[in-house]
Amino acid sequence: MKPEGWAFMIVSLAFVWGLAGWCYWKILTAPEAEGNETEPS
Amino acid sequence: MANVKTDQWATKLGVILAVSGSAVGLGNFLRFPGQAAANGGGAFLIPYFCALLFLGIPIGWAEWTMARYGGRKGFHSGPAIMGVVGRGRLSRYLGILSVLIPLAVSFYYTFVEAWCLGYTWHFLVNGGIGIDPAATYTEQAATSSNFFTNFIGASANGAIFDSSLETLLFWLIVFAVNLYLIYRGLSRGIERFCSIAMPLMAICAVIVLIRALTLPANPEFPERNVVNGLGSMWNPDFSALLNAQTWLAAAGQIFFSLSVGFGVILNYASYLRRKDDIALSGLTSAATNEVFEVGFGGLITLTSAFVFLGAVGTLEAVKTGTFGLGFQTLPVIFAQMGPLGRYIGAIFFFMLFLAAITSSISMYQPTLAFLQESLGISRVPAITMIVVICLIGSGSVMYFSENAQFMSVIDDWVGTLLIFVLAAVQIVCFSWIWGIDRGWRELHSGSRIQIPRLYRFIMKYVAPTYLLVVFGFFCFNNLAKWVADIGESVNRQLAIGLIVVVMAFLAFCAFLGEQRWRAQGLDLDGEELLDT
Repeated sequence: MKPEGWAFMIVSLAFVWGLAGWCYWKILTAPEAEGNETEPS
Repeated sequence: MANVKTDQWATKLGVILAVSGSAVGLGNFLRFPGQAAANGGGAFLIPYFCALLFLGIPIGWAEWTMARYGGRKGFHSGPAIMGVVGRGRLSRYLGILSVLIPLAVSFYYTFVEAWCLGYTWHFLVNGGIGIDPAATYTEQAATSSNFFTNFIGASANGAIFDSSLETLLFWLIVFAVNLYLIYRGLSRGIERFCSIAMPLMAICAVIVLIRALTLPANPEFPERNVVNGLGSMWNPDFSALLNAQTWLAAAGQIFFSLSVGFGVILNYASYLRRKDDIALSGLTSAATNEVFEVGFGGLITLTSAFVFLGAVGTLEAVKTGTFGLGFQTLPVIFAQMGPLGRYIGAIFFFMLFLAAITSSISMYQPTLAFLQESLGISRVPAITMIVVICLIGSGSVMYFSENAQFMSVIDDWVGTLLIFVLAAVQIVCFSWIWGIDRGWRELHSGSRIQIPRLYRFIMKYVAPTYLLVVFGFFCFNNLAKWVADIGESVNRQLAIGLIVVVMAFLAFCAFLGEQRWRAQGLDLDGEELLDT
């Protein structure tokens, strides 16, 4: 594999794993929003 | 809604895993690496991530937002929600696509799901599909191809009903499991299942990935090793970026992979509560899909193929398409892996089965919600109607199996073309009819993240333009051939006939629903504004 190949692979994997990790961290640590009543239909 | 008990997600992760499960499918593991290798390798990731950021994620956010708003109005079906957001009958009837697409795709998707389960069974119980690893590669490939052709009944119409009925049995099992899960309901069925299936799928992917990355170099051809295998996928060819086909392929891959414009998010997110987050949830679902696609699919498939087939053989395998690569080439590779090959093969196909079933259950729920809402019926009669429709639809796909033409027509016209149309309708309704100001406020209501304001511009101008350009090129490249193909095959004509009949049935249901909703005094044209 060429150095550019390694670079593309590492950056791409870091991006998708980093984004997913950040998202799940935010989801699991953020408090539940208030005012979650269901409106009558 | 009268007569309809409103379902809800039980946990904040529930809807995310369910939407992610809907998005992650066979394409993540089989289609993505093939597209990347054929369109510039690592360089393909540049247009791919552009499409993710400017097309997939913004349209996904629009879909999540419209769905939650529609849910607050008491609607959970795509046509009703589109009528509210698009403010009128035209949008409502175009919204029928959000039911037609998942329903029609389910006709063949459960069939493919049955292949995955069948292959899992064969690898686990029989040690594979009868490939002799000592034979020449040509003989192994022929054995694999024959097995696949017989298993899916591609030799002639009705072939799977004539032989061992094995494939039919696997289909009945997966269909029954799907029906059971949607019968259990949103939280007790779909959510609970996805909460188990998604982590299990990740575990399977990690096991297969470890095996792929630790494959020894081919002793006869030392250059066929894992590192060069990764190179076949990731080495960039920057000249491909000058080719419009590369950008088109990247946008198409993102588009179909994320399940935007499919109708599922429109239904799933309608069960969210008023202040539930949608911005972060939509982003998390997309990110989860990308982990399975780039993080696993980008490392497993072509790397394994390269070690055993070399550069030329891998490119040839890619040309056989998603099903050819998955069900004909990979079994040959698993046969080369020695005693562990049967277990790696079983785990791989079980992983595909999980990817498929978490997608297929999402295809029934929009129809279930639509039938309940439009006809005012409860869950059991609605599921009974789905069973009848799917027995006709999937039965046709399985009977008219010669060269898989019937299936490919539904995949092309509904699973590909109409997805573009629905996505275009959705983003135009969101940004231009409903209005980007209201849409932006609604998107941020209860949000746990602040989306950069640049995305207002992207959602109003960039995404619709990007979509229309891709759609234009797509039609230019394919439509004339597709139309010509219809005239040459009775199977293809029958498939088009089935699509038209199902669409007419759904339009009739929408008409009945319209009368009911109006009689109940519901705001079906979105005239009353809700505070956000």
